[in-house]
Amino acid sequence: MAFKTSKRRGEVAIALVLLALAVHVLWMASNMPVGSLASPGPGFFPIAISALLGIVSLAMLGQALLEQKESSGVVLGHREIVLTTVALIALTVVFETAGAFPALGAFLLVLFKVLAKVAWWNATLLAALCTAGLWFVFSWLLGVQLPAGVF
Amino acid sequence: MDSFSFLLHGFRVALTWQNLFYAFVGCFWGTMVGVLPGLGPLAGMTLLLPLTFQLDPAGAVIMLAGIFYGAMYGGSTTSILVRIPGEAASVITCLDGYELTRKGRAGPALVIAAIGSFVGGSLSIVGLMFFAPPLAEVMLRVGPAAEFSLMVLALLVISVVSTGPAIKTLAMILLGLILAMVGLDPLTAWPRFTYGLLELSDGLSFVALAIGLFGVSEILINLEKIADLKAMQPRLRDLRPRLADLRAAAPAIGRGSVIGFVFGIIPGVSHIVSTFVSYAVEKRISKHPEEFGKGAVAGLAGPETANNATTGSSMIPLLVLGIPSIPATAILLSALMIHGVQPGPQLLTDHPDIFWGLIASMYIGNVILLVLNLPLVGLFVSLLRVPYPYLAPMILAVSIIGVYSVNASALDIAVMTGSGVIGYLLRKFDFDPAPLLLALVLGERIEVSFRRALTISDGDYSIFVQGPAARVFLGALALIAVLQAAAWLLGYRKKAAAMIEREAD
Repeated sequence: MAFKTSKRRGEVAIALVLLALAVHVLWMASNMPVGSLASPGPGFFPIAISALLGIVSLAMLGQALLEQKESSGVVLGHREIVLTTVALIALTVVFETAGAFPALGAFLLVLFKVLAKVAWWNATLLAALCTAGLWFVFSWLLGVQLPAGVF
Repeated sequence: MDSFSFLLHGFRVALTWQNLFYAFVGCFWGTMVGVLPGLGPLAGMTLLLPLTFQLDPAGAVIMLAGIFYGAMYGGSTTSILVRIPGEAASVITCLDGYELTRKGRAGPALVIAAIGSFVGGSLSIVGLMFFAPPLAEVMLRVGPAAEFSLMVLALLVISVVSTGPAIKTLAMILLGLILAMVGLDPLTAWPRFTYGLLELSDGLSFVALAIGLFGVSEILINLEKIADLKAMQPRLRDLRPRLADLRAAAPAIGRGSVIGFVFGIIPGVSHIVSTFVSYAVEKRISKHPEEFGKGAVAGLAGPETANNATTGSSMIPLLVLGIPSIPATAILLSALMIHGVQPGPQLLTDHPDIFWGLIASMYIGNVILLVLNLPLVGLFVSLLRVPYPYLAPMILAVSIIGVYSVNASALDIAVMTGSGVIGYLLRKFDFDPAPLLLALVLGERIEVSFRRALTISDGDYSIFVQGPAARVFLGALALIAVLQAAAWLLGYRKKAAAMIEREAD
């Protein structure tokens, strides 16, 4: 699952993303009241900062593209990282509808299986114990209000 | 009332059983996160930040400050015992601390580190107590133009002293300023970059962004090497140092206290820089520089003291100017703001309970840490025996609950996840997310002071360089430039970057 890229390629990609963001912010801010020098409006600061970000992104892009030295390699997309990120996204989606503790229980079950590589029943037992511990500390002891969901 | 009367009042606040409990919890949790590799003071504070919302402001800041200096204490333990720095400022401790462990002298090394941390931490609190009130009086006379100049100055200094390339740091600062603009305009309530989402009216959740950028991204980075992260079995024997060790450590502790205090005031990576400068100074003035890196007591005592001395002095810019000098103090700033308390010169007059209560609690916290660290070192070290694949899911689960509890919004969990992935990618390509966080915290005040100053001056930009305050800040800029040039000449940046990279490998 993991793949290797160069540091330079990553820097170019980040510079392009920042440049796109600067253009987007500049475009949105141009629709806001800019005001005057004596009374700057809500669009004044975003225009100034996004213009600066655009310049800095272009400078970064130029620097990365003109770099003569061989850049070091960077490995991305490790299986554990991808699966943890997917689990986090899934948890975000179901957190309110399924309820905090069922969602957290399933999240822990998947991560114990993926990261600790234990048997399913071990992971299930561990996830159940940890979820009970979380419920005890946060809901019972500290009284934190969390979504009950379908339960 | 003079400083001592105020301090007595502060002790009355800090010595209530509730605040003592919060200080203890903060110190205990801080030491734990300091011991655990990959969880420094920042992650430790952000994880517990949501829990402080139910406390009164003094209790919240006392607990968070306890985590901050507790993590500084705890970070040295793993550096000494297993050559893994618990947090970045303990990197240099690995050099001589671990060599002492290899020689079978882990116990004395831990005791010397604890004594140095205690002395450095305590002396810096004394400095904080004496420097903060007069500085606050000066700051009360500062207008919006000078306030704007000061905050821009702080951000510029951060971009200069950061260990990453300056252009990348600048990009992170600008990104932080843009993210700070999300929500209603602070002066006109015009919705900016909210995309019609009501949840974004109050802006992006600082807690979600901080936990994502630092906590989640740290976990993701650690997951890369999960196969290599084995549970450790460190061993400890006699704790008593020899008289010769104490003689060698004493002057280094004194110098480390001064270096740490001075560097703590400078915005940026003060606590890391101070350890490198202290190590360089100790090595330079030592009669036996060849012993450094092979278990020199001064090479351990100096940096460990400097590391903890920065904790007190880094509170000066936070409490007096309202400017966090490092990300950890940005979390404290955020906690105070959530409780409706604005750090700055008025803090001493408007909320003396919080200011002096915090100072008193730092004295108490240092004693708690000394008492905690030595007898319980075995307990903290046993945390290293918990395998990371079991620890990481639990840390994530606690983070999720913490983030959600702030606004009861699943959008904040999405922000945390998104900023975690972005933080991971940024760090992979040498972008430091710390300046982003600092800019995010200061963003609104920078914009408001800028616009107010221009309104006052009727659009005349020369207001930003007029008046005694502007001259003071220009003087401060010159002083910082000289100090940074000195640090540069000592080569700390290259050494720091190389060292951190080696340790990361």
